[in-house]
Amino acid sequence: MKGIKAIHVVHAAWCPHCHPTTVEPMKAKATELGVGFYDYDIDNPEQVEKADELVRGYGDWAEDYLIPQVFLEMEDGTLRHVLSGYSEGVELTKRGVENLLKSPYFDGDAPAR
Amino acid sequence: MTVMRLQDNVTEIARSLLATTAKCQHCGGQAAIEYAEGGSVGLHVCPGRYVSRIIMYGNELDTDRFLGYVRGAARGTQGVEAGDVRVASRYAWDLGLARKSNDIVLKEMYWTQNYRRTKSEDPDRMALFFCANGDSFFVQPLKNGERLCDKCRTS
Repeated sequence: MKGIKAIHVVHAAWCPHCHPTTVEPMKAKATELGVGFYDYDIDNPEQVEKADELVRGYGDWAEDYLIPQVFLEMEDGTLRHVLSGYSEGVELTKRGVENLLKSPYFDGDAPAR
Repeated sequence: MTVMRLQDNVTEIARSLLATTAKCQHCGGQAAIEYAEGGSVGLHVCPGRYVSRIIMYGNELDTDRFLGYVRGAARGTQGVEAGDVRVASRYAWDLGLARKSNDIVLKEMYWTQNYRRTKSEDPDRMALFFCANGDSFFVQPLKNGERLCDKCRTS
């Protein structure tokens, strides 16, 4: 796999946009590619600080921000926000995850920044 | 001119890729998407005309404009605060568009009625509805069944 070093996902256990829609497929992809996988539960006091840091620094920040949010840590050390859940409905989030997993990011041809 | 074309593109993408029904928190039925402001605003509205969600689509985040719009619509309800707004970036790869750039295709700003801070099941709470004639918001107690705004009811 060229480009991606790890996948990071901000989520909550109760959120249907997160489970099983986003976290599980992203984790499976990380396993398939042999790259790191890190998930941050916003209801876990030990993980929420990192979740907030990722979203505030690189994602779609708001006081009550959307979950899930997916970030790719690239081999050059950069972090890229690549997906936020679709408040419109779980079906759109599911489609977004499926599209992301079929995107150039995961065929070794990450889009230029 | 270029800006206009970009905005047109945003509204076209919103209509083609972001239009979906949602479960209404008011009646449990299906809230369909309707549009206002030339398509730059999407509303999830149930057959009873309750507004579950307001979404603004744009090339950039303009939360002041969005807040102004929602506050104007929801005047007389529990109020709208900046912290009630959530935002999202949509990219070519998650929308499934065949573009190879890393550019953000559009931004969405969301306001959801009866969510977190304003969550209330009180049937007397003042709630936001969208007139069945499709051109104006109105506020009435949640338990009321009017589907038309005052102006349309009296005309």
